[in-house]
Amino acid sequence: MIPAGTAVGRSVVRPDLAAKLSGAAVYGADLPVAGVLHVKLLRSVVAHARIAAVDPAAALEVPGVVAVVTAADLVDLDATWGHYVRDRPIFADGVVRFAGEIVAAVAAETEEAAAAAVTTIEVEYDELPALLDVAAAAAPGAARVHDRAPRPGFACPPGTELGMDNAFYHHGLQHERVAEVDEAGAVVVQHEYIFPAVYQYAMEPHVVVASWEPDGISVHSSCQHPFLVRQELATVFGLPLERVRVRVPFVGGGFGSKSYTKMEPVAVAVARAVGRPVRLVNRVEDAMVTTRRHGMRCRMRTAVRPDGRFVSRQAWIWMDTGAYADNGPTVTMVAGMAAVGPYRWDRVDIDAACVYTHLPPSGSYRGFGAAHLQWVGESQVDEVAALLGIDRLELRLRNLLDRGETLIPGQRPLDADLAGDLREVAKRLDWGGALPAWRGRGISVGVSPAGVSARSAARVELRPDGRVMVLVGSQEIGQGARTVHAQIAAEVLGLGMERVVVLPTDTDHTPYDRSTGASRSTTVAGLAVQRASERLRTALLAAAAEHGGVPVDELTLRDGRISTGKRSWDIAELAAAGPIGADGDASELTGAGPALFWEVCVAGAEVSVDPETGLVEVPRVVTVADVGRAVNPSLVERQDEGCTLQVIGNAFFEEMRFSEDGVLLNDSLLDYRVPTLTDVPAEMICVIVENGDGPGPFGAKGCGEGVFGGLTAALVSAVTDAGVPVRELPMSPDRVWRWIQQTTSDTAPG
Amino acid sequence: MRTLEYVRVGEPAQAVAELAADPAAAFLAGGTTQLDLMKIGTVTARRLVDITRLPLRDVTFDGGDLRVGALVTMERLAREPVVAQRLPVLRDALLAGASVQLRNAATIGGNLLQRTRCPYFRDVATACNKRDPGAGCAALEGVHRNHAILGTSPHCIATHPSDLAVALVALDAVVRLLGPDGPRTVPLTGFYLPPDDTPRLETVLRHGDLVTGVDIPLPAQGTRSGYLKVRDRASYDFALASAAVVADPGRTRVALGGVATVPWRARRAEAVLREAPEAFVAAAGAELADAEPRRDNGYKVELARRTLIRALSTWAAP
Ligand SMILES: Cc1cc2nc3c(=O)[nH]c(=O)nc-3n(C[C@H](O)[C@H](O)[C@H](O)COP(=O)(O)OP(=O)(O)OC[C@H]3O[C@@H](n4cnc5c(N)ncnc54)[C@H](O)[C@@H]3O)c2cc1C
Repeated sequence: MIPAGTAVGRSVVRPDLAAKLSGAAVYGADLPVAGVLHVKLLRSVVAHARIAAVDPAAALEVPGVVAVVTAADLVDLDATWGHYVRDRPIFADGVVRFAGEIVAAVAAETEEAAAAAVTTIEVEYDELPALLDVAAAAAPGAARVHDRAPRPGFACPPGTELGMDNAFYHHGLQHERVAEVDEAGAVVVQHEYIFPAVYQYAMEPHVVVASWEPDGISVHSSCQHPFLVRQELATVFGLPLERVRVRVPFVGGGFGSKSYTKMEPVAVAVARAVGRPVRLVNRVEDAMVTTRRHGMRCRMRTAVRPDGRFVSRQAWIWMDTGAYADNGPTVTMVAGMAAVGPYRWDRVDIDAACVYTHLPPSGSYRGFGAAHLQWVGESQVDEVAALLGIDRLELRLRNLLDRGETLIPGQRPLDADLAGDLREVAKRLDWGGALPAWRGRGISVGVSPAGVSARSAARVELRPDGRVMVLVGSQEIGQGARTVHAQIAAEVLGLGMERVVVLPTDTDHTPYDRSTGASRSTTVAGLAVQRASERLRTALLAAAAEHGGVPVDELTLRDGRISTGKRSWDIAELAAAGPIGADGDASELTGAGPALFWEVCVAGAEVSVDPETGLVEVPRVVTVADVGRAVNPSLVERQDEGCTLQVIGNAFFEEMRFSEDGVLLNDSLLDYRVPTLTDVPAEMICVIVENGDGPGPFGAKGCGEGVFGGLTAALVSAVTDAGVPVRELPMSPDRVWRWIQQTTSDTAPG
Repeated sequence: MRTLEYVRVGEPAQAVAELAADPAAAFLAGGTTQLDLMKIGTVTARRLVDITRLPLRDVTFDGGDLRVGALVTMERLAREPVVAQRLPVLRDALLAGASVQLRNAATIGGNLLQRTRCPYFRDVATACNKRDPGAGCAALEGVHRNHAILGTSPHCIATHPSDLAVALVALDAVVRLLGPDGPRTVPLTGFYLPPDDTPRLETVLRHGDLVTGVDIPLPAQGTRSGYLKVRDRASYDFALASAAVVADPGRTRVALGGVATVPWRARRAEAVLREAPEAFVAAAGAELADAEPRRDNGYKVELARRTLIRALSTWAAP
């Protein structure tokens, strides 16, 4: 524990709490917009088809309908988008590639009129065979989901190879720590694993208000990456950046579902066609086919010497990105990295493929990659431990990398004490203590690349009214970014929290920030806030020195007052003639590849399995928030708890089910089962580890996603320890029950 | 565009008259089923007759009966002290249903008349004899893990989803009606119609019949009762199997939910228990002897059997 500062290190209450609890907070669906039209989308009901005809005549007859917009209205544009691969038409253009693809939009004076009209549009589909299974889609000779060569999007890293096959992107990791790797006598485990497609379920689905004005595009969007949305819209609609303005109202959760661009292009396209502002509000069933988490199949092989020394790890991974790439290649890259595990291997050989199918597109979701692969790798470590008769914790401790060692060549060396973290978990799980039958403990360790980019800037301004305004483009999506940024500025400037205001993002005024994701808001954007605040502090002291005619080193700044000897004055006086501001950024953060720091994914769990029903209960969960420095300890704990609940859903019951024709079957919250309060583990222990070793402000590094990798794996480990081997998620009661039947019949004598 | 008329009535007779005058009109109570189904196109109504202002919101005693107005909400009834004390089976069944928000809007009358959750009934793009007589039943060969094993017909295997109705069937509740020809009463055990070859007809109600209330005979003092609901998820989910048990001194009444096309009074189990009050396993076995599972819902036979045995062991054991 590091002692708390005046603001940093304290569990201050969120400044936006009252607005959210009282309903005063204005979300995208609440924004008052004069003359706004309501948009409803017609989505394809088939997974793969040629569109023979679209007849909007009946819809146009519906009173209140202003326009029906289709691909035909965008022929003057290159109306495709996608930040990584520019593969996605705004409206299906001749072909639909997944059930749920946008075919047409209705704009009407009322939501009701739009909803009524959209069902009357007649579309004739010539159905085509659909590729719904990622392995089939990746197989040699499979029909292609896209027949054109993939075009890199504006955010595709230079030099990335995009191929013509459905498996259009590969992330390979091949390295040898020792020459002539010797596997003789090694214990080998090899299996196939399956991970389901799941949905992020942010409480507020996507909302966009868009208008097409003579001087450009104006958008209010519930998005996580407003600056990348600006860039995408500028690219698609052929405008310079400064003629696209993106503002972000209160956002009701993201979890990755609102990262990059989602509903903005179609909303802008409709606004452009009708010449009036429009509002597009997704419902849950829309959001589920807008973006989701990749389903995955994987084959993994692990070889370990009889003395317990790790030799080699191989994995072949297929990520089902659906019909359009979205952020699939990044997810695939991180999945490949997660397959390695933070161990000292002699040899690593991983191939992770991003594969097109005729299912809805997949993108980012909290903890991606680690959520997919950590449980796979860790379950093989457990299996080896059992085969060798070595304790699971002990086997890990023997092979874990130390701080400073290379995890993946070319990437930032390991920057955390993983063994220490693991021991913290073991202690709280009473590791080694006896358990009754059908109970199990699990433990898991991993890391995931976080931070992604140092491109974050901030501006901090003292206003004449004495308040300090923080302009930073990291979005408050419930994680507490605004609170943390205010704390950082308050700490540096010696101010009470009530005098610091973090403003909502407006790309016309807010300094650039790449994105709200990869656990970067505190570490990267927070560093920009810290640097800007420090500059402002220097500027204020200099101004005060001049103002009072005293040397700077005789001044102190505390509680918003500058003092020298007996004299003191409020900093507001310094800004009487106008605001004083300073800029800062995070450019000092360097690091090759996506890891500006490694987010720690360490957790443990205890479970009990009911052998008669297959139901798994989770009495205890231990998560480690290895955050370097907890700027706000309460927010750190809430991050781990919230993520714990999402993991429980993903690990035990959530799964998007598609029909044989590729249509999503469970597109409501009654049928798609997110956890409820009854699923909260009886005991959730969050261990905050503060080693001051993060690259962010005050030694901080990000958190909030690591639990997805760590806890998913720990739960699998615990269920296995209870006697049920797991090779597929979710561990729903029916599956667990079948696995129990299999295991008992496999091991039955005779 | 679909147009919809809306009228609010103040007197039960007016409500009945409104419906009698218009075959395309329907009652609107809490709206949690009616509006839901209208939005997805499963049911259509040209005219909604809002009955929420009718004076049918009282819970009173009349002799040995608890008289519950049709517009009493689920949450309110569950919180009535007399229900907590004398009718735990009813309280449990109510609180095991839906969510607090829904229960604060949903009415007792509406609950009894809610429609099946069969996905093929709800999805207008698929075949359903209940929605569209003669169209066929997509559930027979489709996704039917949650469908019925009792009271099924070759034309429909949809379950009745209500928890409340299962408790009330076990309690021998009586439905009070007001129809175009005046008031009448129907025992709940005779209220629901099994699908047979007319799955569209779900109850004995005729168009225009208004449920005005439910009369529940209070079980004798000392009666133990309870409702056990088994589901995939511990809250906000419909039953895979459920059992209501009312163990009056000298006789045990039993009903099953989640497994049958109608709230299922378990007469065969009761007959076994009359002879041998503690023969729970035999009773459950008898009730499920003629169950007709299909490809994916065979587990319900065993699940219902065990649910019933556990419910009996909990509330009917001496
Ligand atoms: C998400 C969800 C989960 C649910 N879970 C459960 C559950 O677990 N268990 C359970 O038992 N129920 C459950 N329900 C069903 C819920 O209890 C019913 O929707 C509710 O009780 C219906 O009452 P209402 O007042 O809203 O009826 P309405 O929706 O207004 O009406 C329902 C039907 O009854 C007719 N009607 C209403 N009142 C009368 C009357 N007095 N006379 C004649 N006809 C009338 C209407 O015309 C309509 O056909 C759930 C519902 C939802 C939406």
